[in-house]
Amino acid sequence: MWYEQINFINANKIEDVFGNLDKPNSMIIAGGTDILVRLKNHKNNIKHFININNIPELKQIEYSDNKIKIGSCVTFSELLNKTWKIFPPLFEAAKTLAGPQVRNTATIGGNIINASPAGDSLPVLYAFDAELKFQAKTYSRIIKIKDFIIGPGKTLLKNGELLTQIIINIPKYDYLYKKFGTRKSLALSKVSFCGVKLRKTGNIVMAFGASGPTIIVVKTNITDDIDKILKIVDKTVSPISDQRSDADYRKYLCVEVARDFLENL
Amino acid sequence: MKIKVNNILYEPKVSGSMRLLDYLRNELKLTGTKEGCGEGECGACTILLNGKPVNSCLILLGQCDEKEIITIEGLNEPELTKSFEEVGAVQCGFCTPGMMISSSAFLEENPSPTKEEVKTCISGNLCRCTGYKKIEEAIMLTADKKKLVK
Repeated sequence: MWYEQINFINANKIEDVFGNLDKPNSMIIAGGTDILVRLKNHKNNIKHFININNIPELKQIEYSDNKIKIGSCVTFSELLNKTWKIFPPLFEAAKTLAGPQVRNTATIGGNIINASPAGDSLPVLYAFDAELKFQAKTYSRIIKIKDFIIGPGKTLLKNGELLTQIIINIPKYDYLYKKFGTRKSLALSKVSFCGVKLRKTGNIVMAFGASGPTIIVVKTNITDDIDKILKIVDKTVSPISDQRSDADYRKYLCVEVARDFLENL
Repeated sequence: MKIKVNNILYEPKVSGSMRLLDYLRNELKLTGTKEGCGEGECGACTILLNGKPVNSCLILLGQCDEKEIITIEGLNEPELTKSFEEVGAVQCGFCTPGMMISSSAFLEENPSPTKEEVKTCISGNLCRCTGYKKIEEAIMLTADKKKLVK
């Protein structure tokens, strides 16, 4: 592979990352399952890989006071093992991502930074209004995921920043996660969906993956008329046709999965 | 850089940005690990990294520093091998190393699997010949044999 010529740097602590991110044309690599596929097909001018997989604090999951904090380098296999009790929607999403081998290396941080509209964990993170914590050499900041991702593969990541943590508040809720693909495993989604009803307020958030340039969110309340909500869904999603599915069918899936969710609340 | 492959310690002098797959096949001449798609879809390049199956086409050598790798050449699973033979789970054989690596890790964690779980275990490995049925049978047979031994 052409990328053998890229200088490889193992970062063992967060400071190592910032020391090396200053170098021109450097790129952070975590699981690598998206980056290496992209680089295989598109040669570019990257000079340094900075591997962040060995940094212990990026691999931790903390859970307390109905708040879950997930390190950016937590793999989807680890999410499968650790979130099935405390945060089932993310467990469901992790279960549908690629196959076992990819889940053993692919990270949740990578899924976010890659910013694919079809990213399997993203509808869950949008539905729960997840916050992302970034660290740079001289500052840190927190930004909501819905403000961070601005288009397919496009984010507001600034030079010198490292995604360190994903923070999710978990109130009492009912949910549905669903992924539609051609096969159960190793499939990119035609449409993915996470619907959440907050028990306290009756507020409903529905997040649709692979249905627009980023994850599409529709907010409503349990007291609203279902047919009216479904019309809003139909108008709001803007899927495209590609090799996996066509726009009309995707739109149909969005409306029907929303109906399934709303009618069974 | 130090990596252990099939219980032998190596200190690679090549780029850390080399794919693990290329290091295994071209430098160590361990050609049992196959390259199918090169994009993490087919699982023909599956190896064990610290006991877990991963695609060696999507991991760089530098990421394996201080870690242990087992390839099909170093997999010590006589029951699994025998079951694949007995059932006839091998046709062209290209997917077989990946299938055996995936199922060995799985049986380690899950000695009494259901058929559905076996399907999930090889869901990251594609086979274009067998239709999977015999591979699933071979994995179930291995589980049964191992239980008898215990």
